[in-house]
Amino acid sequence: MDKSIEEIWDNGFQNNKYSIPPVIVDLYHKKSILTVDKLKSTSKKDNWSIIPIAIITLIFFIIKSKLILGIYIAALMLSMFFLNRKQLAFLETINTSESCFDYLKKLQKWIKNNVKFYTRLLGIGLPLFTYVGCCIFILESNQYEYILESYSFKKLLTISISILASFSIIGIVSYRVSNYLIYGRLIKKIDEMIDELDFLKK
Amino acid sequence: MSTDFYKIYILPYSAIIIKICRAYSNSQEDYEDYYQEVCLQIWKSRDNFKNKSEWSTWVYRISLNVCLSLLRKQKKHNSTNTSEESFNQFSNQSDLNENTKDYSTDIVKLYDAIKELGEIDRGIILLYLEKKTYKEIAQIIGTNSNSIGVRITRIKNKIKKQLNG
Repeated sequence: MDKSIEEIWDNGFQNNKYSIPPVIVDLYHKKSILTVDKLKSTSKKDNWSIIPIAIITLIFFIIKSKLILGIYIAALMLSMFFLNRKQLAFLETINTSESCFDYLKKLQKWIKNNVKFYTRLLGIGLPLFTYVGCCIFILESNQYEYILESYSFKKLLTISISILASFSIIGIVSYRVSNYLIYGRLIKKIDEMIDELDFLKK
Repeated sequence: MSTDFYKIYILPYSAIIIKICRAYSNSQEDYEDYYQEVCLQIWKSRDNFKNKSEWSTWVYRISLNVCLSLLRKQKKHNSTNTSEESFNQFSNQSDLNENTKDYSTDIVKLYDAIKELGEIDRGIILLYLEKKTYKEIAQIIGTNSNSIGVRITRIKNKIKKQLNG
């Protein structure tokens, strides 16, 4: 080849057809569909991961001779799995043939409601269920009488309140942190797209 | 993105964007996606442009950054299409005169050779071919301008080898 690279480059684009930019069609359409798909797949994987954890937990407690406690925790996890599945059913109702601003707005609202719902559930539900779990553990360990003899009612009440309060904080913090780590980027992307689409509408 | 913004700030520089997107994409569909994404990013980052460089330099920088990040994302998904497929539209032009036809085949080969280069080398040679100075290339790529000359010679040798081979 006797032509220089520079010569090929300079002359190669002489035909105007090479320089016609592609038509930009509905800039956010594909992007928003991809985001919704990503959210669907991530949340599905996230929810299904509960099942192996529940099985491992059950096996662990069976090995530790705490069958009732194991069944209790595994049952709670399974309830969580089915509850999540019910919540996630909304994602399947999203119609991506609608305007992307509309369905992204619906999705944003759903995410906000979900965060509120799970914050309440884990802030109130988790400490109560953990408290019941502690009681089962004490009963299964045959330490019930020992505890009643050793601690006054007032002290037991203080310990119970401390357990409830600390698990409420742990529940909320761990939910918020895990939500941020798993869905943070996606939620931010959805918020950004809505802001931009909103800006363009104006 | 408003039509006015597109007409004033993107369309006059579309040749730059097209050349970069073609060098990094693997199919016509990818190329169109890359082009759209670059346009979107230029619009989104318009407020960050501080007039310290020319607008065209800014467009080059965004185009390269977007194409590099999309290419890396795509590599993760193992998307593999041949460059032959991507530039069918280059070679199937029947309405070209003989001279342009000749260069049209050469440009396809040149693009194929460029695509064999590493991600950054691709960017450097595109900027060099677009007659950017070493200083500008260094500024856009974010490297030292002293090493650019040597690197370009090495890249050109690789391309020549590929074209002759």
